[in-house]
Amino acid sequence: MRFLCTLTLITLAVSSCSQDIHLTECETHSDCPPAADGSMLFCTSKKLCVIGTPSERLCKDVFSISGGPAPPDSIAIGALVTSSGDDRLILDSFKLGIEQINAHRTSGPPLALHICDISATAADPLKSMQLLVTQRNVVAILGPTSSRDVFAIMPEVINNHVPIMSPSATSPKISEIKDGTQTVDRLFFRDAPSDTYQGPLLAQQLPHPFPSTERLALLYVDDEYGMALQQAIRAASLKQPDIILSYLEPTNSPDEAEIQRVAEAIRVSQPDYVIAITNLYSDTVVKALASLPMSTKIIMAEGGRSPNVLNLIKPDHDDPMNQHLRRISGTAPAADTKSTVYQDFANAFKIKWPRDSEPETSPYTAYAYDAVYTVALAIGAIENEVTPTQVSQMLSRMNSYETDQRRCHIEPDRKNVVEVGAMKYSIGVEKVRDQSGLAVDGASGSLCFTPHGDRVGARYERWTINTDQRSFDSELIE
Amino acid sequence: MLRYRLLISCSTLSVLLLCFLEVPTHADLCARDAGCLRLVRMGISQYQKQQYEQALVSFKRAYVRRQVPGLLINIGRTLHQMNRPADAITLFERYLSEQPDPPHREQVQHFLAEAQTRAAASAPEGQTGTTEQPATAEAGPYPQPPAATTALSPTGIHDPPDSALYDPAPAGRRPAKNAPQLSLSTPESDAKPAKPKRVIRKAWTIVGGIALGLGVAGVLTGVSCYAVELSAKDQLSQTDNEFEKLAILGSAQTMNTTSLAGYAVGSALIVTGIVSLAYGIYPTLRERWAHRRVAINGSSHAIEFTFGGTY
Repeated sequence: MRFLCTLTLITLAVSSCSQDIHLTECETHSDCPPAADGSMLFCTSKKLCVIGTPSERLCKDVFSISGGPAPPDSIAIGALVTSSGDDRLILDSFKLGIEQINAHRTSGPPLALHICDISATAADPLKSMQLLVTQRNVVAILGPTSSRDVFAIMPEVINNHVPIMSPSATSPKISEIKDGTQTVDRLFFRDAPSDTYQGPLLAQQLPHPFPSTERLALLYVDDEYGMALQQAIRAASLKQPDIILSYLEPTNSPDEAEIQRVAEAIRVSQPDYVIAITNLYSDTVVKALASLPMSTKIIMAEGGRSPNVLNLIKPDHDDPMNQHLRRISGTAPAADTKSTVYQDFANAFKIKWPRDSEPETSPYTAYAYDAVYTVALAIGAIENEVTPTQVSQMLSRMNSYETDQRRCHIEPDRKNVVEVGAMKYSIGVEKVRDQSGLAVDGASGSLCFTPHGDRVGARYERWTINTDQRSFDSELIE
Repeated sequence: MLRYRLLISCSTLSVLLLCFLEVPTHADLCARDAGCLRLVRMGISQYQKQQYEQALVSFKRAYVRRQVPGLLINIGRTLHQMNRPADAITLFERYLSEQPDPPHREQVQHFLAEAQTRAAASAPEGQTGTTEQPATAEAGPYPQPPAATTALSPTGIHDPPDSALYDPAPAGRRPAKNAPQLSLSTPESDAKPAKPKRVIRKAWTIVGGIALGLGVAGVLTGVSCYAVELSAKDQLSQTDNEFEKLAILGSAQTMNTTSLAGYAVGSALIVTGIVSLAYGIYPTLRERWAHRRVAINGSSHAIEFTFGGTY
């Protein structure tokens, strides 16, 4: 009897020891082999080799009220931004909006912005989205700021029905996102206009008719944004490019050798006009194109209207770089800078972030401000527990537009208009709660969405670089 | 994880301790062994009929089956009746010395004193003590039993000689686990010695079988979960997605806990099952073996006894 019991105890002890399986793969990053596609794997705190930045290092920054931590009961909103691009101003606008809204929310918990830098690796957008959905329980996402990242997170958005509101993703392909054969509505919202509007505008920057003796080169960034916009230009232009080149943009830093290679190929082809569709690293492309003869005209999309490009300006007016910059022009989505809403936003922005660039430097600062307000209005209008689905439903109430889908429909008495701004937030919430068929009067202009989530209508500008004032000169394109 | 293991180990230890507690007492051993019980009853009956030689053989055979200290009292009393007080003294002393706190100390001390008195009375003048008693009595003719008044009951009252015998399972009463009885056995109780015991044994066998089956199932569950846990390593190497890996890791940890629980509970149940089956089956087997031995030797009287070698 005792023998049996002793035997059992020994068996148990042995089996317990045999149970101790060590499911670890690494101690440091160098222990991890490369992934199947050759990309680097990282060692996490749980000693697993994973693709992309380890989740414990993603989305660490949470912003609710300036200077204080987010209350535990706060409503989580995700923000997918890149630290390597121009997203600093966009993030500043997000924070400004969150702070103003929290100060004027009369009921319900405050909003907390969970900020994720998705620029370190190509896998980070999707990982951050998964983390925000599964661990932070976000009810909506602000961003991503590029079309490529929208497509990267697309499966997670569809699977979890968490709406996104991008202030700067302009690819027409976003309008065509489907779940299998089903159209996906009320998830992919964006207050930046689709490039279906900008393609023809860029084509219009070329001379008409295009001289038969002159040559046209088209350079585009090889991502969802660049691909879609170059197609829109080619569809709208009577003159087809004589040379088409593309370049890749790695996530964390520009591939300067690749950009130099395509710039040299353009120089060799001696074009009279170059249309350059750039994205994150516009300054690197602009610098590389400086080798082109000064007679070559360069037309860029909104990528060229970047604060980083202004950093290329030299002190000497006649510096070759400044001359090169002055020959560049382009088009970009514009904000309604003369409106009261924009003026209020710009003033608040300058007070809040005095050390940063002027909000006018990038049109997307105003778009970002409108994005955070539309989402906050939708959240505020929900009377019960806030869920992603309800946020989607409330956002889709901002759907008052003309039948030609070129502009928002505003009633003469403006009863269907919701204004963006700290002082108008509570009134706006009431309107969104009570009715559908609304239009938003934002810093970027009148704002309303199609059932899919695209912005109806667009406001564009033609811009040039003022090297003396280190700014962009712009005029609205009617 | 360590906490889980500690918890499981403690639970298992508790179960095993219960197994230890279930070890039967000496008294139970004879009471649960139908053969032993029958021999004791037969001995008591023979004792009552003053057939002391036959009673002595019966008690000795019972003792060979089960070394129950209480049987030493019966043998001692029989020897006393056979006018062999020296041998009786040896057995009473052995009874008192074998257990740290014998349950019938007072009665046996009484019997011992009585035997010593008789030994002193029958010894030649100048000889004292019990060890000088002639051992030749074993071979010689047995004297007639003394008068009934020479036997003492446990209460000290002069009783008939047959009232002072040890009965492992007195009639009409269920024996307490650790309290064997000194009482008179009746012929009626001899008639059906082991029927309730058989039912209990059957119950033990069924419980043991079920426990054993469940235990094996538990251990198999543990092994299966362990196998699933092992496969997690392969799954980890098949993906680079952190969240998928974390899910695999979480699942593996759950499997690990389930596996440990399966092993622990399964092992405990197997032990419980084996012990229960041993209770249920072993006495029956012993009984069958004893019968077979008797059958081989042709007569129950042909069985040899080794009884400490002192008489």
